Amino acid sequence: MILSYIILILIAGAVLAALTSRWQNRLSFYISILSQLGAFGLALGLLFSASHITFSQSIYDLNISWIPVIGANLHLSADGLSLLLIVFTLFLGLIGSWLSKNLPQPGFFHFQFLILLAGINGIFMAADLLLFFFFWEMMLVPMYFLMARYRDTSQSENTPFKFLFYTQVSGLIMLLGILTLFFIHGRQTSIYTFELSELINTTLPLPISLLIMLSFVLAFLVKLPVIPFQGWMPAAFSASPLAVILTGILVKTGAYGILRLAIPLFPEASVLFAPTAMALGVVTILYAGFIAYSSNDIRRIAAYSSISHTGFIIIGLYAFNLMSWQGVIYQMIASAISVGGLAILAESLYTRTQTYDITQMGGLWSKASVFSGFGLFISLALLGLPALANFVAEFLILAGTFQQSITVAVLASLGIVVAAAYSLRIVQKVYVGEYKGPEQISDFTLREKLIMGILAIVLVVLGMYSRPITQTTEKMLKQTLILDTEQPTYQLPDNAASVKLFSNPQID
Amino acid sequence: MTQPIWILPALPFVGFLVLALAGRYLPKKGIAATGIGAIALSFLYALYLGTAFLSDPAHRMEFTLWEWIRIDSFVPSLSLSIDSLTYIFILVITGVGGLIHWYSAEYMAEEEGYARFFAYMNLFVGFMLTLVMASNLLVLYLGWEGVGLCSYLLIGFFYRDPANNYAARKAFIVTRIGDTALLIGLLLLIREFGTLDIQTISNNATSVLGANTALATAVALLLLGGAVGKSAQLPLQVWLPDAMAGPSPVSALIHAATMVTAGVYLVARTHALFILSPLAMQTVAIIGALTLLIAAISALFQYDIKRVLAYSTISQIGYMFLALGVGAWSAAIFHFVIHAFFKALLFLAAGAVILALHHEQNMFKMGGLYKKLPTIFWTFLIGSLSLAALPFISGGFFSKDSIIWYALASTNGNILLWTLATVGAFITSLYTFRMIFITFFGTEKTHVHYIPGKTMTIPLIVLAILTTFGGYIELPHNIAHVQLFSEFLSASLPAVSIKSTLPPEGILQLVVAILSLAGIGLAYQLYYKTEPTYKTSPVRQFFLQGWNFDKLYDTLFVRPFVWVSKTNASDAIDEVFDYVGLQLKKLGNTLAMSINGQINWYLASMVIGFIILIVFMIW
Repeated sequence: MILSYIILILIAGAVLAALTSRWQNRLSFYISILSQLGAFGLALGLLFSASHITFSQSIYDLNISWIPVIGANLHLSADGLSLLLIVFTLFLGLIGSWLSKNLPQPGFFHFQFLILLAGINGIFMAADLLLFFFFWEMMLVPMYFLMARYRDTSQSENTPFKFLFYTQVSGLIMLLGILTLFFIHGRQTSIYTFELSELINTTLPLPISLLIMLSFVLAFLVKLPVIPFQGWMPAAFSASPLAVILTGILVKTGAYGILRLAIPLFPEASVLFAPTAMALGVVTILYAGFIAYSSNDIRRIAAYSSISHTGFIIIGLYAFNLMSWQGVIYQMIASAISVGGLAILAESLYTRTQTYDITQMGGLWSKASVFSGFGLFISLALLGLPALANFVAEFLILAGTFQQSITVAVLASLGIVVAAAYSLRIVQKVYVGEYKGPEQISDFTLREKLIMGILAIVLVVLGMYSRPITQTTEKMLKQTLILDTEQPTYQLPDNAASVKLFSNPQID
Repeated sequence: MTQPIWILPALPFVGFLVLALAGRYLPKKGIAATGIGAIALSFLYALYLGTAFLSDPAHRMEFTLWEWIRIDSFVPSLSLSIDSLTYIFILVITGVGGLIHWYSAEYMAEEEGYARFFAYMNLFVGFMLTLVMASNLLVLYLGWEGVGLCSYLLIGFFYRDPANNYAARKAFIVTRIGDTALLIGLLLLIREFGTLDIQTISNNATSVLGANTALATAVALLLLGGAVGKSAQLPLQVWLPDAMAGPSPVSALIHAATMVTAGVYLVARTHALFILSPLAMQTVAIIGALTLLIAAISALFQYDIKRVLAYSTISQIGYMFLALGVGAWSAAIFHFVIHAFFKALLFLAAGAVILALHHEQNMFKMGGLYKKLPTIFWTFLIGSLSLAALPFISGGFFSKDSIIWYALASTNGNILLWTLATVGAFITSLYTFRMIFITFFGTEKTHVHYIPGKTMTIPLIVLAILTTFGGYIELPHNIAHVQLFSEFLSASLPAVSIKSTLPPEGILQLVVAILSLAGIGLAYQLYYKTEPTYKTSPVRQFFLQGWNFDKLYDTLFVRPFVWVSKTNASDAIDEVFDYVGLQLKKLGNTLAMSINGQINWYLASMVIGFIILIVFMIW
């Protein structure tokens, strides 16, 4: 039952926070924090207790009939990957709530925020496709409300709508895909079910499988986002300070969806799609990196930096090997923390200088050295300095991708140079040079120091010691890799010999 | 018993942490003591470890800290090791590095950011030690990027001036282009070997890559890409002259003990891979020979004393690459050691001059300083003699002479390489003594307002002694049989193979010696006999700006990148979507209205939805 408790605690916290805010705003904040801590503790406990055994088996938890007529179940299960992402989501959630302590209308905020967290965690647990879709929608709606309520009023009021439009349209297409798969499977086996483990066995003609896969992948690519679906993200980043933290969590569901659904359900179609996906990944890395270099709004730089990181995720996913997949999971976490850190810095800067424009800043080091020190650190993380988590992520992705396609790996590695250019531009404009800001400026408060300090420690620890991530997810990833026994082969343009899909890199 | 050799890099890292976290609460003396102490302790521990090498140069120490990454059988660990090659680098890094720290205690005393300075310097030494001690190329890459970061921080140390920050950023990005080549090289090695352990790769290089194959060449050239970036060789040499923006001790550290020698180390360390590809070896030699000449000519036209020294570093590292390329491995490392002594000496002495003249760096505004600053003058002169490779009385002669000899005598050498190296030697002594005469002789143009104290002069004297006598541990074999250095290295690096028929070595040595003396003589005629003035002309301008490589790269790479980036700053794809969205919105206005207007209704329906969910869950 523990998995369902995680979700129930969050939902209960949401309702309570909304109710208590009627007479006591502070109380709703504490209730929110408390319920998140509770869920975090449960998830962490589960992760630690489970890691003593093994992750070869999922922790099947709750499986009860939901809508019997159509064979939909409330089926929650988790393995190492799910638990890792849940723990990490709740960790970022806590940071986000801590930052949002002083937002107006806390009752509304915490209600939406906890529902959002519940939805995201639900996605990581759902073992039933309809339930997956339910949680998918459940996270989008509160996100929309949060963006609409707490948007930066200087920005276009269309931005929350833009987010909703992108995600809803693609979500709708995914629903069509899910239903098609459901009916085909039902007709074949006369068992009508949304159970993921059942649907995996559906035999599909390749064109159909390709179509359904695309309907899934579209939603995930929009969520990540990959070029050309990136438009909502810069909008979301400039709509609300909080949005950045949220987005850091949110976008990971896209990568998770590809890894958990699109590839296992449609292996052959995924192989066919791989060259396209890799091309999209490379374009995303460079395209977004270029824009990040020319942007002056620090939130926009954060957004495009995040999109550029996503490009690495995509090529890593479609390189189909253990190394690149471990890198993808690393990247999901490292990117969210480092981009989140940049967003927090952006807010801290805004409260002090009333601007997000980096050309209006300069020389902060002479006035606020702790602030600038953390700022430099985040820039170094973004540019992939070894010893920090982003490096491990990018290195593993590139090393794994290199096994499949040298061209893709080489082009993607150019992104590292571009990342250095845009990251150091932030340092150049904000922290060094002649001081340009207001006369009086304060250095980091204790709260800011603590938050950034925690993020920095996580980045360093994960950068120097990968076991917490690689060991937890290894079994699950290996199972997915050997899922398909027929071992379809695929060929990327520059590979002389076709590479066996789902075989681990030849390393001895 | 396994020695805890991780202490060597750990000490500077601890020094960095203490200074970074508590530096603001420490008095200046405490800051200097922490910064210098960390390096000094590291040096002393290195000396202690050295006893094992005295009895057995083939000795090897290893220590594994922990597994960094584990993906199936690909398990790069944080493992360190010391063999004789690494040991020499450790001694230079901590020894010369320590002297530079010591000197800095006085040099930086009046500057803002004293703690920050020593913190970065310690970090620099820590990463450099990690680089040379790595027994695994991924750990080497960690140190590699780390020194890149520290050079970035230190070049831009005086951060108020945007020009310094620009120079720092340029250094980082240019070297990162090389680093990316190195990274791709590592990816290729992972694919071929399944490991990044340097020993495993070296032992299996022939069987996995095959001799003289395209694959072997590709691996070697990719590693070389990284090496030319860090070591400022053609075509990535452009960052180093601008790196002069940092304080003088930083230049000394970058040019002598750390950073630029990393490329030399990498090639020497992975010599097993380079040997497999004659083409790659040839490329290394040609890059070295061309760089040494191009940079030497540029040095001849500079007016900023630090830029003369910067170009001389590029040129001297060129000699090391030439030696590596012809397979004279230990000659390259020997020149690295001697160069570290005299280049640190020259930069620190130049720093003393600059400080004495209140931050004047233009040589043409100096002049006549030999009387006012005798200690500085004599130590600078000793360093210059080594740079100009004056026969027998300078260490630089012995180290450079053997490189020039092997450029011809090695089986990979030829007359062209020898000629380039010899012409380079002539120009080197010409620009070196041009610098001496302009700076220290002639009429005094700027008043000396500060006489450097003992903290600055003692390191200079120590380095001057090392520079002069360091050369005697390895003498040309036609003069005397003293080859302590190459014997010490023989366990780590293969010996150079020599052609069977050769002209007599003595005559060629004489040619080089005469040419370097002729360079001094010409400098005497040009810059001592007549009062030197700085002239400009298009040709001089071309060499002053380092053969206009900056302009070339600016046109070829920087501008196109910035142009593309700026042109699409508003994200064209997003704008197309926005336009489509706008049209859609016009069409479906009702839909948009309902979404914008009825938040309460949505809220209510959501709550109802969740209640239903909860009911279902409990039920």
